[in-house]
Amino acid sequence: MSPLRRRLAALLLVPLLALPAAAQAPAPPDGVGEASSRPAGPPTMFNAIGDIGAWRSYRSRFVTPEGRVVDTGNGRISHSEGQGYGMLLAVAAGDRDAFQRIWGWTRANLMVRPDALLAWRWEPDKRPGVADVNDATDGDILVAWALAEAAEAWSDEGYRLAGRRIAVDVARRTVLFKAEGGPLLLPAIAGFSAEDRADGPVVNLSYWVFPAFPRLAALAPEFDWARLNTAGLDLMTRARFGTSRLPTEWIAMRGGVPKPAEGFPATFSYNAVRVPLYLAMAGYEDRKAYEPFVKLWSASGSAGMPILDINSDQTVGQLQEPGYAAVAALAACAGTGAALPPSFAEPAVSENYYPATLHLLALAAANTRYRSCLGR
Amino acid sequence: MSRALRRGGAALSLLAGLSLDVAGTATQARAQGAPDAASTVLRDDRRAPVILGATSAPSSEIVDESGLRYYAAQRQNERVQTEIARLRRRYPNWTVPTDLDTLKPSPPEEAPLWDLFTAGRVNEVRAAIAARQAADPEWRPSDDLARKLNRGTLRSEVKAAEAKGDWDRIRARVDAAPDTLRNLDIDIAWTVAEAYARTGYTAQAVNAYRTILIGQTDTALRLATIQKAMANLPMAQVEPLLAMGHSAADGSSEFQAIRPDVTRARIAAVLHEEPAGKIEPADLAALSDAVRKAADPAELSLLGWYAYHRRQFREALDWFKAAIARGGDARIATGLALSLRELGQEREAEEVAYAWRGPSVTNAALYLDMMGRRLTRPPVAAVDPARLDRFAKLVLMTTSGEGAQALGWYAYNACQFEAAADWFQRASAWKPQEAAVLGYALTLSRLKKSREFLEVVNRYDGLFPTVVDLVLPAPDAQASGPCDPVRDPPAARAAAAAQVRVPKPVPAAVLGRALPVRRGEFPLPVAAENPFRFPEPSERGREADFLRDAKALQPLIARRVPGVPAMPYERYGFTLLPAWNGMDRPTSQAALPLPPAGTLAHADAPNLTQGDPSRTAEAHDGDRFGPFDAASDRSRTDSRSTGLDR
Repeated sequence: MSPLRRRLAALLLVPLLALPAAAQAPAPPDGVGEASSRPAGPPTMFNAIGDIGAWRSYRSRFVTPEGRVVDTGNGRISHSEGQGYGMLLAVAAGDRDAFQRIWGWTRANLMVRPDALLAWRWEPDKRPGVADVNDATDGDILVAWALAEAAEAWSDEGYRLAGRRIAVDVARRTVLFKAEGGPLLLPAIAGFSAEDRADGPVVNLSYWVFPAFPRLAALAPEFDWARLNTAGLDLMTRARFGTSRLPTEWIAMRGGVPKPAEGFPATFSYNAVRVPLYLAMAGYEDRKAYEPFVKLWSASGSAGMPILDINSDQTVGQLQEPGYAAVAALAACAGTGAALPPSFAEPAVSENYYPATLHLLALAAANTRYRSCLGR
Repeated sequence: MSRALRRGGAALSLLAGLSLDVAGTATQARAQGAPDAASTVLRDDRRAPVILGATSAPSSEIVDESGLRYYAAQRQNERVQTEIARLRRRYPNWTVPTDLDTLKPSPPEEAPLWDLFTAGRVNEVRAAIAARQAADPEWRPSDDLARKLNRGTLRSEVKAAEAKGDWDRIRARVDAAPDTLRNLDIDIAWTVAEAYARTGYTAQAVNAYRTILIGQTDTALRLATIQKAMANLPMAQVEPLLAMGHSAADGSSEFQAIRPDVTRARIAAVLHEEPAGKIEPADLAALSDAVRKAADPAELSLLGWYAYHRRQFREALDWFKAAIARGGDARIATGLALSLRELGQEREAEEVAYAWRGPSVTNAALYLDMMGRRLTRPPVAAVDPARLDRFAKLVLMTTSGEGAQALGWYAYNACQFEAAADWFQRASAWKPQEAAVLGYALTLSRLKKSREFLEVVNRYDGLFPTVVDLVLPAPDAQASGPCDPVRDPPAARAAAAAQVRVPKPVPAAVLGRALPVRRGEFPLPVAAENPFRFPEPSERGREADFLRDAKALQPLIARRVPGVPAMPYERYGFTLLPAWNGMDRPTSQAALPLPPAGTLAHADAPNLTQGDPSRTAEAHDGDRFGPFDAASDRSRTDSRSTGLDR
């Protein structure tokens, strides 16, 4: 062995054996510290779920020991969205061990793309587990947001670095900064652009995760997240269709004028139910924004909340599980100041992954921003 | 197995065709550098910077003359003189209005109300009016008092809302009573215009500023109006207001005094890729001189980013150096590192990014990417031990998949397969993209760890063609890597080929031909989940209340994954199960399509011919990842020439 190779061998092996638990970064010149570059932002998600029992119940129903978040209502598959929600809720429960498991599974199984975005869909007992290497922008954003929250909560630069890489590629690869009526957030790299569809670009309003944008701006300040955020709020006021004045799940933006997208049911449904949730989580105070949602849901009976066909104004299905009602209650709180019902603080223990997730997110939002509606 | 083991280097001929973007952020940082810093400089990146310095501040002040005017109208000369004296004391530059003699008196019964009003006790005036009206429903205050009272009320409401940042309220207030907009005090007019701008009513904001400019003759107030507009509006909206400047006899604009502010605002707009007026060389030179003298780091770096934007990297470097010397922050360090890198001073760039990695994750990413590139770019050269050591430490601390992969290839190319396996294992846990998994599989093959090797290959069947290709005969088995002591003698390869068997679990009826792999190598049932985690999860989870996931049988036939090109065994007539969405054909050769048109990444993609409808594979920094013999010499007439061992 040549001297050079021996030296290399020693170098490469040493760091593996003896890594200081927290390698200290030397102070930068002129004493500029961490604090100076991190201004105070919106309330953090850290420990925002007051009820650890509710989180433990969630964890035992949807999170495997390996860190996979299981969509129980959807063939027990997993997706980047669910992993992102799981990571976010783990931060909100102050559960670092669970966060580390979920993030560990997420990166080891979904970060198979050549860029920093995530393969959106994973199915158990299939070869290979990754079912689609296309990304889902809401999942990407949720994971990056959760990493930003975790980086703050547990002072971990690795989380921050990983979050930055995702945020950068979301901004660079999925945002149309100069689109008419934009900037627009494409729902994925493939399949929704003006080249891919005659009515494209097609967007999904519930992919604008409003509470995430200030966090992403801290990770990747070179991009204009505030403008993307504003464009989403603006789109929300413009993409109101039919007599209900509600957005459809998928919105065609060809020519800059929002229309229900071709080839998708023109419904207000599982996706768009998150729009008022994200508004409330972001602390958006314009009560008018909540009006169409509050109006629709205030008329809901015991059968559940309606899935509405925007064109016919007919109810074509129901969001039945109680977690959805938590979103409606939070929207009423943010939109009218209505008190949250007692059931709001007690998530059901038998519902599926998605409504259970929405319920915990609503609970976290109420604890951080709407304590008055909780009667506190 | 032996075939795969020996073919380690040679099989990588496919690698050059892969599109990998491990260190894409490096390019991104380069492309995005300028806007990045622009937002550093500007406290609010939607707003142009305005420096209301001593030299250009308006000299006139807003003086409330209403009391004076009341007394004058009442011909109460003594009080008039007292009020004049008071105003002079308070506003030394104030001049007595010339129209005091012409004012008409208001009814004598209003005198107490005016006294209250003059004393600023607006609420008491309102209460007094209400009381008077309760007693005498016919009574109305004079128009003069009513108008002044309304103006006073508007002023206090606007000021209160401004203090709370409630711009919507201000806008709603003036929209509800457009009449109030006439003859506003200029400070209130500014606030109203700002409220329009901040609430997104740009056209109304421009109108408001235009109205002020039309009505206002005082040059200082006109200058201040332009500065306010620049602070609140995109520069493209301010340019027409600038054009309203009067020209002096010598042809110069009345706005000459704020020329540096205008230039600064135009630069900020350029850095945000927003339209703005032309930046004249003389203006730039004047601003540069002023900034050099003032030596404010934010201002210095603004000029740095502008030079960087124009690809004048030497100049950019000088500005950033000056900014750092004057106490600049981590974002300025980013500009410094990027400028150094553009000038080919990579070693210095690396030091800057490393020193500033703590305060800014951007610098940490930049450092990791620059080092990753250094370690994997041919021609290879040994890296100083201390440099390598600090890189490895940061990679482990931040669990950087990109960094781990770079170290894996560095070790691989140095023929240190044990170290390479350790790094690739981490890369496969942290960012299991195709190049990382390929590196791991190749390294396991070199180490003759056949069980682990086959597990990896089978796990990524259907997803990573280059990894699966490792168990198939090489189309070009001539070459060998720098770490191979001897090439395969042809006789040995013939013997290996004879060992090829059809794997049993694949239904014979489906197969036109036998899959040329060794029995028991492929396909094998393996767990689909990637088991790697570094560091290992705590024991706590075992007892904790997690969901127990029942595992079914592990399938042997892969299915299509949308976005993945054909598997190498498809050339032997094998096929895959349909994808989750029913798709049954492979995605075109490009492993990753170009990002959609209109994205920043699309605009930066190299070699994109206009109007070419077919999206071609994007060239990435990641192309560099691989054994050097394969990456640097496709024909490989002498694959040893680039090895580390010489």
